[in-house]
Amino acid sequence: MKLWLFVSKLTIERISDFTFEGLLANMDHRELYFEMHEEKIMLTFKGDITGELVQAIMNSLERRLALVEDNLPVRKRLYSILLECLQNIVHHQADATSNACSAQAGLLLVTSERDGYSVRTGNKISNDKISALRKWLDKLNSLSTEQLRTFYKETLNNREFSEKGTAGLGFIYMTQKTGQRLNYSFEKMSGGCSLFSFNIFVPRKHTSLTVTQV
Amino acid sequence: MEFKLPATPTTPLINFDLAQHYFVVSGRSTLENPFDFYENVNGWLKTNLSMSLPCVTIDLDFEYVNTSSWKCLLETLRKIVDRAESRTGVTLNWFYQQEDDDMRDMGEDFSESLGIPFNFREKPF
Repeated sequence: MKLWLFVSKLTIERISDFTFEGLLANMDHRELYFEMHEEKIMLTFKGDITGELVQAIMNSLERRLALVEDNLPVRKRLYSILLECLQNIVHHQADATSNACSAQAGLLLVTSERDGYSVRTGNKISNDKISALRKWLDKLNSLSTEQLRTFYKETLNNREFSEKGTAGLGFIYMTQKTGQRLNYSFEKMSGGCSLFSFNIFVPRKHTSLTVTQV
Repeated sequence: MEFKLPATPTTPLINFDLAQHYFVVSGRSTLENPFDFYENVNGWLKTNLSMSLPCVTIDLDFEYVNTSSWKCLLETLRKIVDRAESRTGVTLNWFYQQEDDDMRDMGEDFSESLGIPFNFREKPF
């Protein structure tokens, strides 16, 4: 995804003065035109991702999806997954002890592809948070379908909340519902921060795991 | 005694009717931090639902529920269900839109967590 790489690169290099106008000026227009058409950009956003803004972004996605996606379950699934992605970023922001690595200059790109939708997010995180996050994502990626299901049920029923009041189910839900790997990368930035890029693909075909009947 | 909260874009409608032993939660529960919202609901239940009920009917009809809300919601449901004199006295209706397998799956997981069979009610588009 060339556009995404381009946007993230700009963010790393020029986090303070990044604008989409800048992006346009720096990118061949013809190339951008084809990117936007081929990849069918549904939604893009760059800026501070706050709790209030999440609702506005979700409303925007919902309106757009109502026009382009006939399949209600797919629509709802994409909505749910984007919501989890954005709320993860907001939770992280609340967690940031210093402002240096808050969710400022967050990035979001939702594209429609042949077999589904791709959700990409980017946000700054403190370098000392990388190891725990990497461990968590790698663990989820390593689990088999059956193991993931068991782990999800254990987490749902353990009646524990994190200090932030979160349930720890977001990434589990995303990988379980899509049947896809959680793709991510960390790229070092200045000030003890890194850019956490995250990508999840939401297939149009129903890939939900088999549920044991109660 | 009744407890009612209107639906908002991020919080569900709550309609608890103690006289009828009837409890409704419906709509969207998508707050980034839903803890305070459910604490308020649970607080009301704790204060007002002290007696045990011979039968309980719960209608759940959600459009969206984020993962942060799942555990909160389960806690609220446990508070109601635990007041029923027996599990067999609990009627739990889980409404979901036709073909919305994710929402049905969620209902099945909740049913398992609560140890109560749900009535699954499919709604047409």
